[in-house]
Amino acid sequence: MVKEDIKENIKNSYKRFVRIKTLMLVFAFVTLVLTGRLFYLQAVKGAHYGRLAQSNCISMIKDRAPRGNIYDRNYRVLAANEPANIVSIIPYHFHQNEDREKAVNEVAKVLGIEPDTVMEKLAEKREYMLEPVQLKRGISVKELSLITELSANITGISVSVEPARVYENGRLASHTIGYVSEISAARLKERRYEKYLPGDIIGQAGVENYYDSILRGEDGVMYILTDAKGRQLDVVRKIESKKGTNVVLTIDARLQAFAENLMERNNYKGVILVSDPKTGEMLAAVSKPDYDLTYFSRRIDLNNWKRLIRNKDNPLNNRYAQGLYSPGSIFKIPVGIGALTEKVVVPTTTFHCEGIYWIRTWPYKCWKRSGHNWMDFYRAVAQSCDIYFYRVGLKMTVEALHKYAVMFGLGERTGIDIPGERQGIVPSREWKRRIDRSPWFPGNTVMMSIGQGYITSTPLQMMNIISAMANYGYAMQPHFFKAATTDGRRIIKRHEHKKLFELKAPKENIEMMRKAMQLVVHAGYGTGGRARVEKLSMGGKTGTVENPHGETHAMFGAFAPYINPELVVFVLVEHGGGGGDVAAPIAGEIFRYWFKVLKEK
Amino acid sequence: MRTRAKISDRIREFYRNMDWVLFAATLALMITGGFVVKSATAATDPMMFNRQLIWYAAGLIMMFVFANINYNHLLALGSHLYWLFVAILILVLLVGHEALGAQRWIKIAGFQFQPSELMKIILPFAVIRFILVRQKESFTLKNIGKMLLMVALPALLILRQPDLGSALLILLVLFVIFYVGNMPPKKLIILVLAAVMLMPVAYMALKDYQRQRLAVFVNPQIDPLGAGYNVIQSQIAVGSGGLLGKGYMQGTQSQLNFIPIKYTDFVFAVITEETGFAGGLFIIALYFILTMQGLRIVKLSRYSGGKMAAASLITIIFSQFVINTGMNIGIMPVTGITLPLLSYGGTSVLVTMIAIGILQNIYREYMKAE
Repeated sequence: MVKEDIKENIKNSYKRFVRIKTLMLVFAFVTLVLTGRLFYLQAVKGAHYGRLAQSNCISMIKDRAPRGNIYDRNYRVLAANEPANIVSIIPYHFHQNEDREKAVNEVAKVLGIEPDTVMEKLAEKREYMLEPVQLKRGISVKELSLITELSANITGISVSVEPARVYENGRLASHTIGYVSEISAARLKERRYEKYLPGDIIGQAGVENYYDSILRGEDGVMYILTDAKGRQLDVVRKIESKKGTNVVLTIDARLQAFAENLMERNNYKGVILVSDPKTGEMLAAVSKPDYDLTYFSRRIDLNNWKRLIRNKDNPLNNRYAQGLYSPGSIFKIPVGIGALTEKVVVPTTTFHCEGIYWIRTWPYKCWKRSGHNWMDFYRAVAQSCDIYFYRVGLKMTVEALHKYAVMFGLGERTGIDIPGERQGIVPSREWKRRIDRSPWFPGNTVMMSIGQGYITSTPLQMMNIISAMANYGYAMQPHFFKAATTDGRRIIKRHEHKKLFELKAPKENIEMMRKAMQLVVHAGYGTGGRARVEKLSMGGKTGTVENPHGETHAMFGAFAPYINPELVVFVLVEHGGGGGDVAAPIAGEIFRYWFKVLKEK
Repeated sequence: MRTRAKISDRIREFYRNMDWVLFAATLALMITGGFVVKSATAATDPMMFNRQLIWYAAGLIMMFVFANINYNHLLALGSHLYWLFVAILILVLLVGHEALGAQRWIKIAGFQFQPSELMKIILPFAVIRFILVRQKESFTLKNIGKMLLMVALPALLILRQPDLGSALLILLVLFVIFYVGNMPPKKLIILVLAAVMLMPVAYMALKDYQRQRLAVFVNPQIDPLGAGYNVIQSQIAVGSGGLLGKGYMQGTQSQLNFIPIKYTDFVFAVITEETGFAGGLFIIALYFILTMQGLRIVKLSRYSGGKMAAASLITIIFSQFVINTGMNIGIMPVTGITLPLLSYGGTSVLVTMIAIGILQNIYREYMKAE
């Protein structure tokens, strides 16, 4: 019995020993699992969690840099800055708010925006948890007082002051200056804007966009240590903001205003370009209709914006760089030079104009139905005889027309410092086969030789044709940028003038064309007589462009003085009528204002 | 001279035959705990650190006291204490002090006191006494049923407080007692299977917030600023600590209060954020030494009662450590279980030190018998 008991005891003890050993192993294993997990969190994923911890406690506050000012050539302010109140929300606090919907609705109501837009802003992913997201810029005094009241009850609303863009001159040079607004989500994805962040202000058109990198300056940042309740404890790091560089434009605000007034007075749509042919500096650039920049001051009013977009006249379209027109009779300058250079005609060659020119059974009319009678080179240019150029064009063939069009810079962007410039079309046999899948007909050559048909160009390109004549054979690249300066007007960077193209044509041919252009204005029979300014000799060319939308476009391009020209003017009035009747007087007014008013002072 | 020698002998008698490795691990944990609590409460209330030091002192005294009370007396008292504390637990439910959403505290002489903590020791002792009295008949079906009832009563009371973690802990300790008490393997397996089968039923009985905690344990991102907040923030704290930590008192997650209840439940996150993997490993090592030393006592003790008592005590400490650190690093659901000796709180420190004191006594009784 006793022996049995002892045996059992020993057996039990052994069993216990094994069980305790097992327990030890289990406990050791569990410890190992804990250690493994700790190693994974800290050693493997340490960097990841480190970032998360930082985004928890560091909030970033942007100190927006004021944009550089924009001046005209005489340092008259075109765009400046002014402090504006900005309402932001901190999404983190809103997410913690139990009555989020109500808070969002109240904020939206006070600011007059859709609650959904607020919700969208809340959902945006930001690097820092406590980073404020802008809701509305440039709020009114009334809104400010209401929102301040609200922020007492709702945590996470912040009102800050930031520099905002103001344009004091209304519509003046609006297409050239452009405007600013918050960068769009679509633009953020483009490579050019990869350094921009959501919420950044960016120039959207004109010089504001083209020189954004110079104008915008560097935003300052303040990293603030914040605890879990959102209390700000300490400034960890502060980077001061740097104001953007000022940009001085070549625009003369007085001339610009005068030119705009000429268009507005008659409610004309169209373009006026004034430049200095020797440097390519743009002294004035009008594109009508335009928009009132005060809409874009401080903030964009949504209703005004919608009205602008819906306007059928397309006031947001910068016509001088983006509008494509048939060059019309302006194109007779390249054709004429080409004809002389290719020796198709000599100045004394005459053709008879009967008012209609027949190619087999197809009639091609001259603008003067009764005909011009016998025409030599000078008279043909001065009276803009179409039939003379039909015959010259046919003799030259398309290839030569194409060659001289390209030589005068058509079909290629001028490279002016304005975004969105278009290049236009210079047709050729191959071009027509590719686009239209049809051969080139003699009729096409006829239309092209008077700048109608397939050929299109921007007003800037047409102005360059005149400039090339003014400069005796070359054109400078047109530009608006004169210099970049500090606030103390110390010049940091000056524009380097660049030749855009040079004509490969004998000097005497160019001189003949200039002579013809002088006759356009000064001969009794010239088409541009109404541009005449007392005691000023000039050269010009009218253009009256047929178009399918109604009345002809009136064009006139001119340079003055005839010897050593200082000014090139190009005027285009959409559906204005005859170039000589409508556009030429406008150009004359501009010459008069420049030479008799501005230069006399 | 003779009397003086006698006194010194008596004092020596007081600490003779202690398990010095176990004591060293305990002391090291306490010192670490002092630093940790200092850091975790610095931004809240500096007085808490002083209070914790008092608790440590009281805990050390309690350890020595219990190291000198023969554990067999405690085992003998088991069932009386059991009924006393069942009564107290009922009292807690009726008049207890509510904090952090649970009714666990009772005020005795100005001190807040958590009876469920002590119940963690008393209940195993009552069960062990029951087994010791029944000897070979302990694991008949009837007796197993009785023991389960014995456990169920306080467990349900604790569950009502509600303190799911402690209730589950008691069940785990019961299992270890059965295991070390040489319960036949078949019955052990059946018991485990029964427990597993009861899980869905138990889940149905949970409160909403407890279910939420389980849900966010599986995926904290379903409610990152609500129920999942603790889990996410403590993991961020631990992870951001990296290998060497952000420096003592320099943890952004802890010092800026991103970790909730950081001086009790999430104290481990505070340590590992500030001292990194090195510090975490140090603490895990201390607990590992403590646990293995405790299991050595289980192995050494000659008596069934001593083995079971030691096993239950070391399981209590070890499982609290695992559950707490586990929830800090996201591999255990969030419960109110604290980290023994490192979390702020008097009751926890005292109970842990009493447990270690009893362990020491079991060791000393073994040494005396040798």
